[in-house]
Amino acid sequence: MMGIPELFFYFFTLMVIGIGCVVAFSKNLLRSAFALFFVLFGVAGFYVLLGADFLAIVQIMVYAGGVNVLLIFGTMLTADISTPKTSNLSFQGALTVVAGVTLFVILAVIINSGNWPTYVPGEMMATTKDLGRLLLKEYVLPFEVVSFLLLASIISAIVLVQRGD
Amino acid sequence: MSHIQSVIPFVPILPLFGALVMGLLGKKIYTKFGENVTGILGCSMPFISAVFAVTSFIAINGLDVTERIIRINLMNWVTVADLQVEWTFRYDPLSAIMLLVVTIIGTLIHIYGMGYMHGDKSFSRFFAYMNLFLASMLLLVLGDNLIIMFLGWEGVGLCSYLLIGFWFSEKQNAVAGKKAFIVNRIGDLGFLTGILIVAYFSMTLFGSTNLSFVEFQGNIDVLAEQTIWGLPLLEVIAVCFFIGAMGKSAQIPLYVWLPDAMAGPTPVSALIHAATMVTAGVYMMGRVFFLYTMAPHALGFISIIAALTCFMSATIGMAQFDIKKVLAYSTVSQLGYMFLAMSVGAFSAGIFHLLTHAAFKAALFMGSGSIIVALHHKQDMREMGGLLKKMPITGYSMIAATLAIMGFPLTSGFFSKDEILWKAFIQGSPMLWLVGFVAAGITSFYMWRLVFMTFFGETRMDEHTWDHCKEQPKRTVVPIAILAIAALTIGFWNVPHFLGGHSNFTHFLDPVVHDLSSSPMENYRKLQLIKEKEQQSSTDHAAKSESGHQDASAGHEGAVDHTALEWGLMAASVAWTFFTGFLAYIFYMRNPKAREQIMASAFAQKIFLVLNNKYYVDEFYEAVVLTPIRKLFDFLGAFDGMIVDGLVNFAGFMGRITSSFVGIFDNEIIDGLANGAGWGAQAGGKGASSLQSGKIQTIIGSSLVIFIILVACVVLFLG
Amino acid sequence: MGLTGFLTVSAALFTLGMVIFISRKNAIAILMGVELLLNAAALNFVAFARFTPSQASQLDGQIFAVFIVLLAAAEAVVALAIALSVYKEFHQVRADKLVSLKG
Repeated sequence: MMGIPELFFYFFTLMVIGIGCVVAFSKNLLRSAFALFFVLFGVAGFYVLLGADFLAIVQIMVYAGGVNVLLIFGTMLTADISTPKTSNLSFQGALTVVAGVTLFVILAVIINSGNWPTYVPGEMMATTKDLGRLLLKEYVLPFEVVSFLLLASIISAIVLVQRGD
Repeated sequence: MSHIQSVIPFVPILPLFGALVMGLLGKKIYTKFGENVTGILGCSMPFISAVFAVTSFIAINGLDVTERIIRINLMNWVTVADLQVEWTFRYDPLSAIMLLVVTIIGTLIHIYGMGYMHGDKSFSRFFAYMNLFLASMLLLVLGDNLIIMFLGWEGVGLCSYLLIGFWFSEKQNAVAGKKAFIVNRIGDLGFLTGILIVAYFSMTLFGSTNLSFVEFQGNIDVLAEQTIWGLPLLEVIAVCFFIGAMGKSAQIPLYVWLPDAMAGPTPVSALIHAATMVTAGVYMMGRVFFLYTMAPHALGFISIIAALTCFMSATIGMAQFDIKKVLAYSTVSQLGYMFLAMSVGAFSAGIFHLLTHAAFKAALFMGSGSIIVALHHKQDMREMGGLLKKMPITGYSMIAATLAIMGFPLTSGFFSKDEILWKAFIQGSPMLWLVGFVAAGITSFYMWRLVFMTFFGETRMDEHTWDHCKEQPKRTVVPIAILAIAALTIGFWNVPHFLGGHSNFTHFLDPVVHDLSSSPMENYRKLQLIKEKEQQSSTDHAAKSESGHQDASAGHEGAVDHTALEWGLMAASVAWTFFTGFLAYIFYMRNPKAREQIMASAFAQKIFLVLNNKYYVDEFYEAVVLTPIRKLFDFLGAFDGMIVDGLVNFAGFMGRITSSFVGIFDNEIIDGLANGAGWGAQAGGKGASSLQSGKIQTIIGSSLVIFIILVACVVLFLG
Repeated sequence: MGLTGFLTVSAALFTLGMVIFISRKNAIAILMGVELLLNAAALNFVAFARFTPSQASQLDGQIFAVFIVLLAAAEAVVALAIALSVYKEFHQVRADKLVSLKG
């Protein structure tokens, strides 16, 4: 009998991959965008399984709630009215799937045949305090740079959009 | 001797030089200096040669009899393995006589030619050819060996062709020249065969040969024992040489060119076809008399041919109307006489007749030429008559020559012809004598016919021609007169014994040409007996002398005295010729109507027709010889056209096929390859350039694919 | 579970992200693919942080994942700004039609 974590692991795996396929192969762009939500949620679940609680929340708040919403906005704002509904299943598409499957197989083979260090992980602890301390101690530089980057991106976004006038 | 040795080499070379000058520069000289200068220049070389000939003759007479064979070696000519021919001239009594004949008569005819060819636009070419002819003839006569003689032989043949076809713009003249050359060539084949047989046997028997007459004569006994093709060697050689003489000296069956040769200018006929070239065969027989002495069967054959020729052409001459044709057939007939003499062993008699014939026949031809020019190139005797008043010198000269040819007593012809007839009787057979006798009468008849028709009686010319004809200028007429006088007087050189003379001519020729004193057959048998006796007695009989004493009974005639017989025969021939001459007088002068009555009968008409058409010999040759040959030519031509051209066309066809194959190959395959390369490059380029799209998706996608491929390679090859 | 499990899932996510990125024509869809790629990478980091922690601290991987999230956000902002600008200009955001820069 599988343990509860394994169950969740498989559940989340199914969610991620299944809905990921929806994202990939859906003709409706909006549906892909909303499906991405669930994919992100699934990834957050993985984070939880891995003991990265703060990260899971950050993922949900920033990624799913911020980035995905932006994508949905983008989808709606740049809706293709003129283009007819073309099938995504082109030769190119099929080839890409084949290539993708091949890639996955290769990666899977590599992963499974590698000699990973056998380390038994300890108890899961709360990570928030430690992460905070790391951010402001060892990784303060990247932290500052990223905040600068965020500022730059905001300004550039504004500039870009304003250019249109 | 030294005079002769220094002078004789120039004798043939000077006319050769003259020919070169006239040939290369003659036209220029003619246009610049005029006719007279050109003519004198053309006659100068023969004249100098004639002077040399005379002085050499005088010189040789001053020599002792045994020293009269002079050989002048100039240089080596052919030096090939066993054949070592030298360029040597031989001057001996026989050459001396021939040299006198050729150069003196040659010079006279050159001078005559100046007058005859007056106004002709090819004046200089005429003298070039005539000089060349003289040079060749002199080579023939002076040659010390068979090769030089053959060289001269061919040379005179060539010049004869050139001169007969001198006015070649008229086709029949060119055809006549061609006929002369070809018929001559057939004879030359026989001559050459003879020379080659001599060369072959000399080389195999004696190791090497220079084909000189001295060597030939010295080795004749050894050669006499050889056989070739089952026949005695000497008989075969003798017949081969005679075939050459048949062609050159117009005997049956190769005489047909001579009458046609009258298409050439009359000086040519006078020089070549009366005095010199046609006598080359007679000279040749005199030169190698030692050969013929040992070949009695050949001589028998020759005698038949000669007698037949003599008679036949005389009968044809009776029925010709062209004045030159009459003289041409007369020449053939007289040549028959000469060969008749040679064939019974009377070599010097033949040579003597050669000499006298040269004089009177040349005179006759030149006279006829003078008449032809005076009458503006009319040659038919039926349109002449009564010319004696208008052209006295020509006329009397011709009458004198006619007296000589008929054998009027004390003329040259009388002595020479009678000598021949006598020898034919005593050393040949009475049949031979009879044929010659009858022919003599016919000769007299047709010659007097010629004279009477031309010079006497009522003129049959039209007014215009009669008024315009007159005696020709001196340069034309004087040579005729000179020769006519010679014709009358030369005979005294060889007066036979029974008439009180000493046969000086025969004695003069004796060291070189030795007459037989019995018939050739008898002589030959006697020689065999002597040889057997020598072998039996086995004594070293050194009875060989250089002059080839093959006469079994040396000295003068045998014990029997033939004087009465000689007188009788002579009287008979004189009477007979007088009779036939008289007949001509009656038929053509006194009572022409009688002639017409006789001729009116159908039988006479038929005979006349046959004679006039020369016994249809030419037609016979045409049908039997020439037509099959022409058919062969047509066949060969068609063969060439079909097969050779077919092969050539086939080769061309194959070439076309091959090239079309190559073309297709080139088009399809090579071009295909080139095009394919281009197409491949294009497609590859398109394909490759599609990689260079600006689409990030494509880039990432392709890098993914490449990553997969790389991994695959790593997995596969690096395990 | 276990490291390989998480890595496998991450590989699958990565593959999906690639497929989306390569095959979709809409620019926004391509962006979604990029998000998936990033998520896959972040998942990798966190998985390794859990199962093979470094000497310095146990949470290096998680820090990295945090930064990835931040960067993804910044990038999404800018990308969408560009997409909107393009939309304004060309009235479409199809990647296969927007090829005028192609050489």
